[in-house]
Amino acid sequence: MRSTLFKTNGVFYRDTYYAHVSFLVEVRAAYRAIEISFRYDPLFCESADERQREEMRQALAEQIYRTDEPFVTECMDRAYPIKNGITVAVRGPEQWLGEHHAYTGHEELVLGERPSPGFFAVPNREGQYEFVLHVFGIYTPECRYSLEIVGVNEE
Amino acid sequence: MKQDYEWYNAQLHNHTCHSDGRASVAKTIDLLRERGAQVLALTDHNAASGNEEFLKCCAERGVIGIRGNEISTYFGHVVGLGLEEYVDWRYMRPDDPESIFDLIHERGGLCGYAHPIRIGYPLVPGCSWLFRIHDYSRIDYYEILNTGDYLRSRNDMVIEEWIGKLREGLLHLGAVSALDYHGRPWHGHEYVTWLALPHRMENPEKSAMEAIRRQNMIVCKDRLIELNLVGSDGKEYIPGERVPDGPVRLRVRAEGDALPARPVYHADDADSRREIRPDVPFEAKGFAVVRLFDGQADFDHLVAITNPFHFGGRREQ
Ligand SMILES: [Zn+2]
Ligand SMILES: [Zn+2]
Repeated sequence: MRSTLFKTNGVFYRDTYYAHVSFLVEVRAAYRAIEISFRYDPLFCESADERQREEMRQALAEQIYRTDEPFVTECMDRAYPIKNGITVAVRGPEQWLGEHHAYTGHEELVLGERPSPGFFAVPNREGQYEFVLHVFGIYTPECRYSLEIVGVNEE
Repeated sequence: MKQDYEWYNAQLHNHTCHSDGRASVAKTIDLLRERGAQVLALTDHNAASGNEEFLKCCAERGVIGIRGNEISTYFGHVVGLGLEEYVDWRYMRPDDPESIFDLIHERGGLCGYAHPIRIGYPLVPGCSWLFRIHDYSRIDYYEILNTGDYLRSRNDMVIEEWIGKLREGLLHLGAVSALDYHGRPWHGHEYVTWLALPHRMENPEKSAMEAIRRQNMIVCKDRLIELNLVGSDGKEYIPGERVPDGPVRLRVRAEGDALPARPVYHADDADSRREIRPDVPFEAKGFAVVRLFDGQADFDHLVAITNPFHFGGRREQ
């Protein structure tokens, strides 16, 4: 039996970075598995506009003290297509369950005794779960996301 | 003279599919073993979920495994060797990295200052060090050669910064290389941290961490080249050890053709940097970091760099 426990979607806009969004979800049964479907789109930002290139140039100068050409231009060119970066972390009722730190644009994650990589193998419990989106950086004008949490038990 | 230690090829910064590494835990271990690794640490970004399988797979393969986790915040990354729990990093503040260092130490771990000078947002979000460190005594070691993304890490500046910290009296700061392995093809700048471990180890993971803490390490480009010091007492000392005051001599040992054709040796101590030669006595003040270059004494020609040898007084252990 599959029960939808939580469902949401939204938009992050360009230049959102280093943000966290947290959803608290009351889970009323101990599910064999809790499945998280998280998508965001687009994944890639194909090209930089002049302002973004200017920011990269500045970052290179401030962060690694490089202003020399052709290094700077090559470094910026190599960065594209840059990825919008959002990851998912989960706290269970009793402990942090983990995080999958990878920018894939589409994560199908499983919590429970046979979890997906990034998450500890622990049985699901009743209680409050926290689903966290870590927004590392959004480079496209808009980035739409959807998050769906499903509880799965044998019938 | 019979040595009471053995050198181990160590890679102390590696990622698997538990974060953004490409390969499974077992595959990652196998890929690194093919490159000669004998000691491996698992340092997935904000994930400790691979540790159990990692330690099991390491044991099956005769590799010494060190559990860990790379706490990857928006303001920089800290490697926690020995750390086996997930850390909620959301509230780490840029003016307080010490709370991360303390958290790792409270759990018996070691703190690695990961890629201290590296590109960050917008090119690589989170990877640049924006934390302001107030207390360097709470870091255990520097990653002086983070080679995962060689061009975007200023390893040349990091080495100078590390030596500068030793000169400030922060003599406990160790130095390791960090492949920052993600299962991708090799970059061709493959530094290895060689770790001196005792012949008999009850708990190899603990012994390896202890050797890192005690700075019994030399970082070499690929193959081991031993750069030891012979003290005025005639005994040979390895990096991290306390050498009796008085003149010392550099003793170089390398297998096969590992030694470059035109070796140049430098020693840094508390006051100065100078060229030295094997078996020619020199004196060092406070500490000595020995470097070997190939032909030319600059970063691009660096072949090996020791952790500090200690002189004078007692260093806290
Ligand atoms: Zn890192
Ligand atoms: Zn890393």
